Order: sequence, then C-alpha cells, then structure tokens
Amino acid sequence: MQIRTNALVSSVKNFLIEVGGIIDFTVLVFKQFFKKPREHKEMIKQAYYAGNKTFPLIAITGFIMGLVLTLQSRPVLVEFGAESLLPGMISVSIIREIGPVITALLCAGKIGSGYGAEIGSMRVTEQIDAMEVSGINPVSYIVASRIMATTIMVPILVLLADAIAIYGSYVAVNMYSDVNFQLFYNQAYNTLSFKDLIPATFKTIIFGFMIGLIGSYKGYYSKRGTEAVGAAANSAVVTSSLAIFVIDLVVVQVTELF
Amino acid sequence: MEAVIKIRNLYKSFGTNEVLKNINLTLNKGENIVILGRSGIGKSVLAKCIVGLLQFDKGSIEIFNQDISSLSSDELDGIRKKMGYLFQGGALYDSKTVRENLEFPLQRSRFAEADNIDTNTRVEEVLENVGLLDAQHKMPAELSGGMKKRVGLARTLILQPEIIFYDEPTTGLDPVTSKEISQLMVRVQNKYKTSSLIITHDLKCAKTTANNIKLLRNGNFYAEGTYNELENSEDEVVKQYFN
Ligand SMILES: Nc1ncnc2c1ncn2[C@@H]1O[C@H](COP(=O)(O)OP(=O)(O)OP(=O)(O)O)[C@@H](O)[C@H]1O
Ligand SMILES: [Mg+2]
Repeated sequence: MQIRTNALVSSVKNFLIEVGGIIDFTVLVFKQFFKKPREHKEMIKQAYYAGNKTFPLIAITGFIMGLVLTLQSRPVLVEFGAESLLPGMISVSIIREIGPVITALLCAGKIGSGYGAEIGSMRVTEQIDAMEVSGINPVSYIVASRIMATTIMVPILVLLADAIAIYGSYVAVNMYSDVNFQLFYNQAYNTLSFKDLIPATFKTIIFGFMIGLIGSYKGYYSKRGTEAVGAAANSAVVTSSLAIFVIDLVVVQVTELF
Repeated sequence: MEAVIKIRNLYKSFGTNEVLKNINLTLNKGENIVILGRSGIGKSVLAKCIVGLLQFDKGSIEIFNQDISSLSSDELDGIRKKMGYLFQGGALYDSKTVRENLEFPLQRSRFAEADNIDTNTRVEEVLENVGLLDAQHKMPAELSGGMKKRVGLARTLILQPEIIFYDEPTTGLDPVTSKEISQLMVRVQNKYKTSSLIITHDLKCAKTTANNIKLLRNGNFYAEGTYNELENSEDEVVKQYFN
C-alpha cells in the first residue's frame, strides 16, 4: 500500500512538474512574439511544410470519415423516416466535433512528433547551443516560428478536412439516392449556425497552438543521446493528443454556458 | 596586457560529479591558450561555462571586463556576437546547405547592419581557407566527419570574432589537414589579433598554436607553461602527455 501511494505521489509530482515546465516555456515563447527580429520567413517555411506534409493524409481521412459516418448513420434515420436530416446531422457533427478532433490528432501525430524529433536532434547535436553562442535566439528562430506555423495551419487544415468530409458524405448519400450537390449542400448549410462554427474554429486555433507548443517543448528539453530523440517524439504525440481531448472537453463545457 | 577573459575560483559540478574545482584563468588579447587534459575531465564543460551555455556553481567569469552572470540575456547576446565557438562535433545546421550554414550567422552578426558586407566574397574566402569551396552546395549529411569540422571552423571564422573557442579543432582530421588547420588558426590570430582558447589532444596542433598551455587534471590546472617548458618538464604526470 505504501509503495502504491508513493508511486501515485511521484507520478502526480511529475505531472505537475511537466505542467509547470510547459507553462514556463509558454511564457518564454510569448516574450519572443514581442521581440525583434521576428522570424517571418522561417514561420512561412514551417507553415508550408506543415500544410504540405499533412494535407494528403487529412484529405484521405476526411473523405473516409464523411463517407463512413454517413453510411453508418443512414439506416437508423431511414428507419425513422428522417433521411432528409442526414446532410444536416452529418455536417454538424463533422464541423463541431469530428473534423477538429480527428484532424488535430493527425497533426499531433505528424507535425508534433516531427517537431519533437527535429528539435530534439538539434539539441543533441548542439545546433541549439551553436545558435545561442552566436547570439541568435533559438526560442524565437526555432520554436516561436513553428508554434505560429501550427497555430495558423491547423485551423486551415481542419476547414479543408471538414469540406472534404462533407463531400465524402455527399458521395455516400449518392450511393443510395440521386441527390444533386446543390440540394445536399443547402440541407447541410441550413442546419448550421454560428454557434456551431465559432467555438469549433476557436478550438482549432488552440489545438494548433498546443501541437506546436508541446512538440517544440519536448524537443527543446530533450535529454542528450539518440534514444532521447525518439522519446521526445513519442511523448510529443502522447502529451499533445491528451491535451487535445482535455481542451475539447473544456471548450464544449464552456460553450454550453452560452 | 589587456585581459579579455578573467575566470576566478570557478566551480562546476553535475550532481555529485565535481567537474571543475577552483579554476583560475586569464586570457589576454591576442593570446592563444591551449587546454590539455584527458577525455571526460571537463574541458568542454569549462568552455561552455565561459560562453554561458552551462551555469556554473561558484566563482566569477568576466569577459571584456563584464561579469557575465550579472548580464541580461540581450547584453549577453551582444557579447556572444564578438565570440566564436567551434563545437566538438561541428554542430552544423542540418536543414541548411554548407553555404547557408555560413550565411545564416553572418546575416545576424554584428556586421549585418553596420556596413554593406559582401556576403558572397566572405563566404567564398573562408571556404577556400578550409579547402571546401567545392562543397558549398552540399547538405551536412553528405559531408564526412572531418569536413563537418572544417565547415564548423569556417562558420566560426566568418564572423571574425575577437575571442574564439576551439573544441578539438583537429580531432578526426588527417595529418596534412590538421597541420593546415593549425596554421590557419595562427594566421587568424595574427591577422585579427584574436584571443583563443583551444581544447585539443593533438600535440602538434598545441605546438603550432599555443602561447601558453594548461593541463587540466582533477578539476584543476595541474601545470602550465609554454610548449617547450612542459615538454622538458620532469614531472611524471606532465611527461605522460608529452611523449
Ligand atoms: N550536460 C551534462 N550533464 C551532466 N554531466 C555532464 C554534462 N556535460 C558534461 N558532463 C560530465 O562532465 C564531465 C566532463 O565532460 P566534458 O565534456 O567537459 O569532457 P572533455 O574534457 O571535454 O572530454 P573529451 O576530451 O572527451 O571531449 C564528464 O564526466 C561528463 O560526464
Ligand atoms: Mg570535450
């Protein structure tokens, strides 16, 4: 019993240290946003990489997501004679929840782990030290630019994923009945309100920020050695996936208040 | 003589591992000090404490008469722009080509705004000096260990620093290149009046470059003197290094 309590205490302690570390790091990064030189060029490069690297994956996943969701939901709605609600129902669930969360998880896996590994190996091979000794601020050049990049790109990728998923849903509906796209689109669009869009978009901005932040944090404070680089990448994915669910939960609860 | 670095009673340990114990060192303008010592004794740690990459536990370090532990990070960056550091492993930016590796620090150096420097000429000149002009468009991953080291050296020299830290500049190079690099280091010293701290195991390099040699042992300088003085020393420990 004693041993178990100790293990619990130490894991709670580790968790709190981790959270404290991430908060410290966030403050450090925020300071860079107000300092010169601003690394616009690097940010654009990173945003391009992030988008380019994940778009194919997100497009395919989005399409399948819309398709499968529709195929699964259709029989139930048909049973109740509510088939005409299908486009609206699917698009609401995609835009509110499934699109943002799935896309963010994919980005955490692809971009976040990439940052963990890349920055981790920069740490291990002393590239970060080299920047520091030549008076170049590594937090600004490496970290802030990447966090800005994901904060901008993840919401854009989510919008694209949503659109493709809704198209996937349209394809699924057309397997059974001949609906033209205009009609499908109108049905979907009429069900949506600002209340669906605003929190969803807001949420994706935070997801993007967290993916960049946690990936960079894990890499930046990576331990020395090759093994540590793998560990940084791995824990970047795990931690940011967890963060995505927690943020999702919080945003949903907060939205309910209004 | 004007001192550029003054270290007083420096201590540094990692947990229970006491690496540096009461180090005192003065580096004068235009002087080359070589630090000898066995692997894992703390030579790199000493250099990293001086440039502020590692926090030391006790003591003081003054660079250009400024106590570095009292400086803000911006002030420290200002001092760092006058220093160069050649890392043991080269530390090349692996997402940039050789050429970009040199251009990047130059664009952010203290020369960047000052005058209209001709980046191309400078890059080509230093690459020529280390014999790697042909490799300028290669990525670091395509270079051999010795080539990486030489690019690292070029990247350090391009900023014309006033103080240079060389962490094993000739390790892993063939004898001919080693000699050329050592001679280049002396030329840089004479031409720009740079002061350098050179960490090396290579006695030939030490002989060519050193004005003063210090032997680090058990966290402290065990012996010091010119190359000839140490070479002719009767001390058993010193003898081990010089034959
Ligand atoms: N970041 C660090 N964390 C913990 N211990 C460290 C760290 N850096 C160095 N050490 C320890 O400090 C000691 C000195 O290391 P250092 O790298 O200075 O050796 P060195 O004299 O440069 O050796 P070499 O000639 O092999 O490069 C070693 O025992 C090493 O384990
Ligand atoms: Mg070393």
